[in-house]
Amino acid sequence: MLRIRKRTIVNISCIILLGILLVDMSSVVIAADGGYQVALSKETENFAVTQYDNSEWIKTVQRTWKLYDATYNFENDEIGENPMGLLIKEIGNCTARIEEEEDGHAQVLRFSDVDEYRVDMNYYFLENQTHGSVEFYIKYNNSGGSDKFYIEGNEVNFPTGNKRFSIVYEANVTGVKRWQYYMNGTYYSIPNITLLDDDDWHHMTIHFECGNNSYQGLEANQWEIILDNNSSGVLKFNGTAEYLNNFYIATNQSDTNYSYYIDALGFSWDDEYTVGDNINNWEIVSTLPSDWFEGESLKIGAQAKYMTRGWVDISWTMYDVIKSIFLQDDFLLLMVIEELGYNETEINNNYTDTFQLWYGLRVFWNFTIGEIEEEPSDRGPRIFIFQNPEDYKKILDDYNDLIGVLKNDTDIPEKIRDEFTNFTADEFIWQLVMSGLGTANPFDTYLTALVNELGCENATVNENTLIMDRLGETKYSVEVTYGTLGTQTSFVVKNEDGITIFEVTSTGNTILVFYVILAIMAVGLVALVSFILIRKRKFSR
Amino acid sequence: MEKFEDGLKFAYLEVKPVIHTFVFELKKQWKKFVGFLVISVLIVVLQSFILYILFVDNLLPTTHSDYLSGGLIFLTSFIILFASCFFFAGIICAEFSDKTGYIVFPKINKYKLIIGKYLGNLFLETVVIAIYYFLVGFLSYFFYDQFSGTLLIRYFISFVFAFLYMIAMSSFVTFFSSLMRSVNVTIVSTIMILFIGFNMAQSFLMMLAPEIEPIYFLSYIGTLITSILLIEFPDPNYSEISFQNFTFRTWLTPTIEMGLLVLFLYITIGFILAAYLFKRRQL
Repeated sequence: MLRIRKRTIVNISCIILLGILLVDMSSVVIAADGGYQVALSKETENFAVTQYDNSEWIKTVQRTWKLYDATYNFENDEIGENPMGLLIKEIGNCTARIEEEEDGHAQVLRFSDVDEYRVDMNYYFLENQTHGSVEFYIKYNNSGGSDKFYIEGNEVNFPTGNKRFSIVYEANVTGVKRWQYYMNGTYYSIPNITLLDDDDWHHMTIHFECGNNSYQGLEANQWEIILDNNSSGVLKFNGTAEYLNNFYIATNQSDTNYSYYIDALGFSWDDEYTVGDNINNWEIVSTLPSDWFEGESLKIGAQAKYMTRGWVDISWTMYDVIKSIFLQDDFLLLMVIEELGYNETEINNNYTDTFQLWYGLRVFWNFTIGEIEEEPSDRGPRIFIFQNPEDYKKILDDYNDLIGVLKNDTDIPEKIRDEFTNFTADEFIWQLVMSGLGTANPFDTYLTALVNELGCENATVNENTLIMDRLGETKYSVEVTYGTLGTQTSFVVKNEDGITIFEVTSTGNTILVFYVILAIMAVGLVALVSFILIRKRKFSR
Repeated sequence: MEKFEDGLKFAYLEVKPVIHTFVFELKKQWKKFVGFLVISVLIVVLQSFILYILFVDNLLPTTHSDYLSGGLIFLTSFIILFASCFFFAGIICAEFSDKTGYIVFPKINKYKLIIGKYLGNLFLETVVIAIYYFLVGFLSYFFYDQFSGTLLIRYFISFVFAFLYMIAMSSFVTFFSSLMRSVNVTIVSTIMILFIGFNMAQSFLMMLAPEIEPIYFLSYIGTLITSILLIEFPDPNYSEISFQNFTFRTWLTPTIEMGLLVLFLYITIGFILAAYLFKRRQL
């Protein structure tokens, strides 16, 4: 009997020890130097879209603009640069540059007259045109002062040229605005067409005929303006022309502080352009939930999940940080700057800090309304938690410093230099969150340290929640909550009034499953030991 | 009706010795069964669970099927092989080493005795394999949180293949059991052939004639158990690495049809030969 009791104690002790071991293994905790801890667990976290208000999203977060079909819609031109294929002459500080968006139009050409000089644009036709149409969108920003804007069709016989149709739009200090055209030394009012509303886009078509083709019903040396479907009627050329071979736009030399926008410049003799094509457009929509979360994240009930495959405790140099965070999607750019002398050794010699971090590898299944597939959508996501939150500030400073160096290095081609941009603290923290920023325990202390060290102006911490104020169509905020494992468990977008527009929340993780398995194993062990004990007792009797 | 009842009675009387032997064999092989069961559970817990939980830098496979496939490798490479050798080695030769095979007027038909013994061992080994499969699948749920419908079907098919593979192994061992004089010699010789011989021969064949698929080796056929789980079954079923003028081909898995055919060949030939030799030994 005594023997059985001893064995009972041993068996129970074994079970308890095994239980403790398994429970402990379920959340392996590693403490860092700074006192922060992370549960480096391998688990699957499930998410679901629980809220999405499409109309509120469009009003608040989404930005939409349009790209129009045309010979020149500036789609592939660099923002802030002169357009390709058009001859721009910038005098003084006046410019004609591409802007990303203007009042619903994407990629537009802005003529900006800021001093007593002017800026003009020439487009020389590849072949002389006896007839045809030029059409475009135009938008005008009146300075409140006196200004003029010229649009011309010319017959150029180098080195001389003659304007055959010439339009001037004029506004003066008294608020008077007018359309005029030039003919035989005099400016005449253009009949029937409306004045340009400030800050509205207007569609203009100019038909011209030099010969006897009866183009658009015009006779020789006639032209016509159509502005927003209002026709000027037939106008006469300034003199006569055999053909036109130049289109010209210019600001006025003596006027200042006004700008014009031109978009969707179409020429009827362009084989790929037909008159009226530039009425057509397609929408460029920015900042949809699907830009943040891929798959069917626009649908309520859509589910996604990620699985953490494993963790490593590693040390990164500044080069590693650049490669893995800032230029992770632009490996080509990294290779280019390496070729230009900014290689791993050079960067690490100049920026000597090293950073300890917990680095986790994950796989991700995109949001879907149906059953989640077996094959993950993305095998590349990572989670990184720097063991010291102060490191984020060092990283940002070092990176921005490096960008400054790169931008000032005239040996690097300007186009490559332009590829690099500085990060603000707020933009950096946003990028980190979208890359799956994790946090260490105690979470609120860690997040507060991160936000404070970075000096974020638009980010705050409330317990385990990181709140970032952002600007879309209007102001909105994004609240990211961290769960007990230090990973993101909810992602909420709210409008200015605090109403939830979009919400993704965790629907559970496999840690619970682990405890169920553990319980079953423990029960099984107890049952097995009990069975053996009962058998032994029977035999001993 | 009476005829039917008589028929049933007759059938029962015919089957009864088999059932008795079956039950007796279960009791006799109980310790072996527990031994393999404990080993299986330990292996599953170690390789599928503790390895991934305790060592955080040991990466989990990216897909559930890869995890299951990896988790079953030990089963196909070791458990089935060793269990078959240990459970089935004594099926026939034990009768002769224990002299029971020489009894002129036995109380029980000797074939029924062998069938009963075989089924008893088959049942025990099947339970070991089934528990192994269950545990691997059950513990995988912790990491992957789902068992998609198609994967569950593939997992079941994999179990069927494992079952057939086990029968093929058992027929091979039973055949050797009919040849050998002692159980231990049978165990050692079959382990040597199946574990070392087949693998070595397969390696030699791959080196000397890489274009020939090693379909006649059970070790190669066994890869079907794990490869059937993969999301995309390997097609083609080999990979090639070219180095200068030499192309090295690695055969990954047999096709399903070929695998089934070879397994049935092993099963049929093994049992026929075993039965023939058993009959001859009694004469």
